[in-house]
Amino acid sequence: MQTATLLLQGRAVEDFSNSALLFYLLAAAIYLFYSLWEKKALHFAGLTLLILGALLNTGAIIARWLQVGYPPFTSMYESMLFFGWCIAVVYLGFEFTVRIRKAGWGVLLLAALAIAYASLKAKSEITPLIPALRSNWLTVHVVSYFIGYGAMATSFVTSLLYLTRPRKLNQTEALASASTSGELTRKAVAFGFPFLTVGLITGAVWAKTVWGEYWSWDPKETWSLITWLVYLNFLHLRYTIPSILKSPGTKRQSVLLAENVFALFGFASLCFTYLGVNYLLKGLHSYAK
Amino acid sequence: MRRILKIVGSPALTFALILSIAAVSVFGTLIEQKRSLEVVYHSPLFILLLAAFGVNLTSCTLLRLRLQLRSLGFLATHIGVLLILVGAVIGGAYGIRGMMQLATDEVSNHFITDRQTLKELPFSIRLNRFSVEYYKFSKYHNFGDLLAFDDDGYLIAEVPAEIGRESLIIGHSIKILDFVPDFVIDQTGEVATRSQLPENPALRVSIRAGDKTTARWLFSNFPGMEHHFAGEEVLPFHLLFKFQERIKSYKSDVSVLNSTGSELLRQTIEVNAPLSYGGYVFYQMDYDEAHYNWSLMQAVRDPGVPVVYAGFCLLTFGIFFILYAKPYLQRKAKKQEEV
Repeated sequence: MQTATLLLQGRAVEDFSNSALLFYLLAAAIYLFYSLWEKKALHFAGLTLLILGALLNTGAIIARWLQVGYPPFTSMYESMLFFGWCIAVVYLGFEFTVRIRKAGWGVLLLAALAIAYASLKAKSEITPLIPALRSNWLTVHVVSYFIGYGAMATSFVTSLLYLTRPRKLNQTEALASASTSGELTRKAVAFGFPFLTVGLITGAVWAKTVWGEYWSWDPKETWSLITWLVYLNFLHLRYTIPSILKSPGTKRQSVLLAENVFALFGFASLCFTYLGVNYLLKGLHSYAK
Repeated sequence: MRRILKIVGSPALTFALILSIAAVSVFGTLIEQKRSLEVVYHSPLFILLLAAFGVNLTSCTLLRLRLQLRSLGFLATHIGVLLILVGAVIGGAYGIRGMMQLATDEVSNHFITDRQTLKELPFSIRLNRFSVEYYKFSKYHNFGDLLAFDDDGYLIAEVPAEIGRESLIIGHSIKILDFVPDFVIDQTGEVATRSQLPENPALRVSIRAGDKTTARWLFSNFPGMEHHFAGEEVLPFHLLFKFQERIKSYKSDVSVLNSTGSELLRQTIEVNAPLSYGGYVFYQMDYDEAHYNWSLMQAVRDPGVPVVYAGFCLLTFGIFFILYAKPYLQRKAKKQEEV
């Protein structure tokens, strides 16, 4: 209880989040060096900093939770803190399952950007929950969405790395590099898409409980559907492109290329759903600023 | 027949239709939401696109229909989306929605539908009481806004009234120190709160300019009263505290009555907690802000909901199966083959 009081009284949220930002930035720098020199020690140092950054980020979220008294996912400030955490933690999950280390610097830079946005741009004021948000659906809806967002942020970085890969490699190297990096995007999207689906569906069920309609074409709802449709098409590309192309030799590379281009569009659409709609379009989600 | 199904259910057509639905949806978000329903989402073009998507999905499902474990995800996702579309059509064709406004103690067995017709219910609803619950004051919540005006009455700063917040206004550092909901000076001459009700909400701020720091109370109900404190520095701007009470919940205590007036059910309807009875669901929508004398509830009957929810479940299951379970099963089978 005393710890909780200390967290509430001090600038615990800011202290934790600023420290997490610093650790993410340091980890990103070390991962960048790792991507150039591929030294094991560099990877170990980067991974350690990343884990410490994620722990500090967790501290910021817990401190905020204690401070506000409800799951801290309602304002832009709170969601950005959580977005940064999701990017880092989902990336950590990928670290242990796929060979993604070379993309680490880009992903961690995104996590740092999210925390920096929370610290510098978003309003940190505490406003009690409006009646519509006082529901258990809040946690399920937001957490599943942000796990999906974390995975899609990773797919954005891997697709960028794939599309900007060096062209002067010999044919075998090019194919190996292209396949590895390109398929990482597919794996990240495949991990994140089910969470986007759960987020979309729980949002609809929740809306039905609050407003009596599971779908009202509110701009936020519509843009989340658009993002879901873009990623849905991404997942269909491996069936669509071979059905159009005649030459079997070019099919695999064409699918990879199209998937990585689509991952960029998907992430752009996701960012607009998350940020653009809040600031540019009015709707039922206008509290999320 | 199979040739037609192949064309209508081709992956290329699926791709084109999904892209078209997304593109038209983007257009819909660029115009005002109320107009977008009429111009875009309820337009014949959009309905045609959704219908074409449904036909494409049905053909695709029929073409690839295999009763195998590995096809389970494919079947679940495709049937799931079809059920969502079918459920929406059922809701649109056979559903009904409207508004029921009740004053305290009023009994009604009808509501006004969206098409401005009167719909009779097989039971009556009585509003026993309407109430609004407010949040208790917490030190960490904001209590409204702190505003600063120049001598000409122009707003020059607006900050959330939150304890600990510090702002710089024309060379003066203003820090919010304390809040009391019902300001009073007690017998010992100390500031206290008479009650937890916001009868006289007041905010204490410190003002620092150079080395000099002073503090003063600002009263939401008595703007300008802070100037009556003696010995305080005259500021180059006017500070104003605008208190805002935070609503926690709106509550309609209602009873469902039969034709003889006997009570069948009593429940409190809140946002996030509607009342379901006799195939209808009643949602808390609005209320009399001035006197809390009436409550507005939305009445909805939507027979498509179970179908849509079945679609949601199948779609979720199918997507997790395809993207998580199927690759795992494939890896496992491959390992067994290698052994």
